[in-house]
Amino acid sequence: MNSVTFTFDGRQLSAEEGLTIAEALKSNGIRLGGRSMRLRVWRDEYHPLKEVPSAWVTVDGVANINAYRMKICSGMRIAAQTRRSLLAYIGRYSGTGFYYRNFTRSETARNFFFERVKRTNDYGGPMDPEASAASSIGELDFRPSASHSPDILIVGAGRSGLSALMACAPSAKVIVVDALPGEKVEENFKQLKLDLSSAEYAGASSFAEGSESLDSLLKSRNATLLDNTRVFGAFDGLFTAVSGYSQVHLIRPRTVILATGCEEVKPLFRRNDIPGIMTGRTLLTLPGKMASGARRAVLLIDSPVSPAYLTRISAAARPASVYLSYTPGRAGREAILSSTGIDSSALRVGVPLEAGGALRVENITVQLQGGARESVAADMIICAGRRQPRMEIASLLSLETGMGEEGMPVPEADGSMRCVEGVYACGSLLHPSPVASVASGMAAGIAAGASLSGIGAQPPAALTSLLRHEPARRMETEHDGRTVVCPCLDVTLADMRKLYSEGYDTINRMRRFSGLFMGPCQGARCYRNTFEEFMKLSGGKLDLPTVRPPLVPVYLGALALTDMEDE
Amino acid sequence: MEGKVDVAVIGAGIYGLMTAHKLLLRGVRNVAVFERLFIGSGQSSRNAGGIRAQFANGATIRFMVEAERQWKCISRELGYNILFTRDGYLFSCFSDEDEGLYALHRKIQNENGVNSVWLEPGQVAELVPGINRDGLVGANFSSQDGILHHDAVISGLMFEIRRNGGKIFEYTPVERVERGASGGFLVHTRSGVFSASYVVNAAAACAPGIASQLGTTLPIKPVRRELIATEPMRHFMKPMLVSLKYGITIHQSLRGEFIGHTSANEPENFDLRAGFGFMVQYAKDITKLLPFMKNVRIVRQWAGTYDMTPDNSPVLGPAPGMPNFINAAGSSGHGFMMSPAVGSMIADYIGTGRIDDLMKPFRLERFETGELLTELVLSNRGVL
Ligand SMILES: Cc1cc2nc3c(=O)[nH]c(=O)nc-3n(C[C@H](O)[C@H](O)[C@H](O)COP(=O)(O)OP(=O)(O)OC[C@H]3O[C@@H](n4cnc5c(N)ncnc54)[C@H](O)[C@@H]3O)c2cc1C
Repeated sequence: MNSVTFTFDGRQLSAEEGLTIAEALKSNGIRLGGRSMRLRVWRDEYHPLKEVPSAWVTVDGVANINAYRMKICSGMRIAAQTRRSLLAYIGRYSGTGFYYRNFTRSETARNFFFERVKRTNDYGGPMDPEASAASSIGELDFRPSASHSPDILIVGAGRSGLSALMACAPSAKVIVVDALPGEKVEENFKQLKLDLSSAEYAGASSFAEGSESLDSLLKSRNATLLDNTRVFGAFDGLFTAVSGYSQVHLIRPRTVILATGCEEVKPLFRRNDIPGIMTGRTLLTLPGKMASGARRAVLLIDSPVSPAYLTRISAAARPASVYLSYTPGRAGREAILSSTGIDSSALRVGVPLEAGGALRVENITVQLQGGARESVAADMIICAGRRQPRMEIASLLSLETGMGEEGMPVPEADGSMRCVEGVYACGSLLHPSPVASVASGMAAGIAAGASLSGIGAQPPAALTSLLRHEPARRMETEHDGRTVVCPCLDVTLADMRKLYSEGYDTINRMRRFSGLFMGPCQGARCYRNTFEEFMKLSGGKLDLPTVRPPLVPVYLGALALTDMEDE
Repeated sequence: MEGKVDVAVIGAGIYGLMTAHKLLLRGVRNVAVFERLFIGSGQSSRNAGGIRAQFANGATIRFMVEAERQWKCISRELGYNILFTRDGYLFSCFSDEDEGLYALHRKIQNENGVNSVWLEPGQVAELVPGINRDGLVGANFSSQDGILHHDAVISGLMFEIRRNGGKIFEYTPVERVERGASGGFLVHTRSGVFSASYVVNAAAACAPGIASQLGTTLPIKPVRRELIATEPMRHFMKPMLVSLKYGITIHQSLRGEFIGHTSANEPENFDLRAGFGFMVQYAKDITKLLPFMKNVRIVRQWAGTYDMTPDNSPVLGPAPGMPNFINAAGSSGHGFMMSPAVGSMIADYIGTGRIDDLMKPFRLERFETGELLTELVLSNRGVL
């Protein structure tokens, strides 16, 4: 193996070729970014390959490069943009990860730490202002904004968004926005086509006509796909989105279909935050060698997921055993066995209770159907199927999402969501069932088209019957305090319970004083678990946390190039 | 729910809570605070937490100096750390013409107990690395000023008031106030009628509606005001930075986020939705003032409702002809910083009947007599 030399903060270092900057630094004993205050484990252990918020470096004067994304090259001049966090050390002595709550008790303690915290705090700092101000490089390439006024805006090109597009009238001008790159949307499309050809979807398959490929679907429906683009705000009918990091889109649609889908989350169980436990989606973003390094992977499936997805997960991790937290039908069971390739004796129904291990997961205890417990060795735990709806945009629009038992929005009897004028919600935002997701997307497409022409249209009966498709029910467990609900700020169930008993008795009050929903993920990973627990504490009452724009972080540089003339 | 209280406080914002707290400290036990929504739901949990005495008229400055003196003791008083740091306020100056005005401000401030000084551009750049020095003439700076965490103050007050036996009724809007027997009042809330010897009207922009029921006109109007927070960066900017040229205030929080504001045309109503126009204007302005900010991302934007008076100063003290009806409203965007002094002076007034000399200039009658508390620069350039 060749080695490359580079400098880091002025020190001459060398590392193997082919590593990322973060790996190269690690091989020199240098860690970027913060540690979990609770576990005293580096945060990058949790999110391999993901943007660790505090792993920003300046490379040859160019600021804001994620050290996990760029490969090391010979001669690079690298500078840290952030410093190690003192909070990581103080965290040992404090309850939750929330910074000012930690300091609210004693003034003496504050005075001792305060100045140092200010100087060393690295809660994910993106750059070193001094370095960047000093150099005239370090500029990201921001582009002027673009304006659109489509008839229909579809937010989300997953199965429901694409279903909606299929059902759109060809005369309407459509814009479809998705955060994923085009290739991934293509994959969504292929999966949807495949599903539509199966018997379960019989009532919906006719809508797929004229869409042999994603391109032909887009063309025949007069639609433009803005991929790699995220909606970050909805202001009085103006939807704002950002492409990559660099360009703002101003979209003023006549009608909107929200098909923002679900986010996969880990279920609640004791010590669910130690490294080695991840969602199926995270697993699929790991490079092959990291994933296949596991010798004993355990797969937890929380609700039915597509066989294709299971096949991909199993190819990456080769699970030794699979636990289902619901009782599948015969066909479902067969599908799981064949797509995971496991033996039927390794497939059990049960829910996780506790993970064991010091610095990495080593085993997991599961409660089986009937109450018996079983502890198995595991060096990787993959959680699939537990999903929380992506309700941010709906909340911004103040759609009344009635919250059901588990913090899922509840659709009306006819399958639609109560909406503000001209906005239709569909997909797994509303329906935990993948079948109903597709049907509700199509119903939304028909309704949106009808509202444009002013002529009412009802979805065909075959479609409405699919809307009532019910997913299997899950098994429930009791959780205890060490379970982490907010992985960004290490807030546990015990913290929530303590806060509640101290008088922080609404979600919004708890949010202010615990930091829930306010970490770098902005709530994307903690809504569902938090709501479930909160509703237990409050006896079913729940106030939704205020959602504020921007829904995704947006560079001031891109916003500064926004032309508001027409607005 | 019905009852009899000594003092009924309307509004659990910082003015209402501070007043209740100081009353309890004075030994007035039977205090009830009525809040339309939840504690701090108004501006008091939506502001920037800036504390300064760099104003431009003597009365306001002297009041703020007293308030700053009290802020130093609040953490201890509440047993709750409010994270008050005094790293100063820096008023940058980008125009030669303004230099004289800045000097005049300093003169008035220095005469009234504020240690503000003039900084040369080099010194400014030391305190604010990366500031756009194009046209920068200098700055007024006072190290007495600082920043605190408003949520911590509100939460500390909530616990302390409850510990001392005060009552805070949330989701209990006051619908009507009328005069009762022997100089007292009947306070009609959504959940019952309370009789009270004193009423403190601390309902911010809703205060005029309550005052008018007792025949008093408060010249207060609502104006939306927004703030933006960025992702956190390593801490490097200590003072609160104000730029009159760009209409910007910005500071870096303990956690490293930049929290800032720009002057934009905001509606005069109670709309609390965030505006996209504001976000864009802020981006344009801040990247001119601090060019490195273009590589930083916004993560949150929120709005609050300012309660503005014609001279941008609050109305404090008993209403004319009604010694037991006390207004504490119209804080015009700098009420948080005044609040400990407001609370203690109103509590003193209720306890002794004497109006503190520092509070006298803020009486409602000033709008009749013309003794306005107008600021020289800040008020007409959108920075409050
Ligand atoms: C964006 C922004 C930034 C700011 N930055 C700063 C700063 O840096 N420094 C500073 O000092 N100040 C700042 N301020 C101003 C400061 O927040 C306010 O001056 C201060 O909080 C006012 O406190 P208050 O108690 O008068 O009002 P509020 O906190 O608004 O409280 C009034 C309360 O009365 C309640 N209420 C209204 N009507 C009724 C009714 N009928 N019955 C019962 N309750 C009722 C409301 O629900 C509300 O909770 C800022 C304000 C905003 C909006």
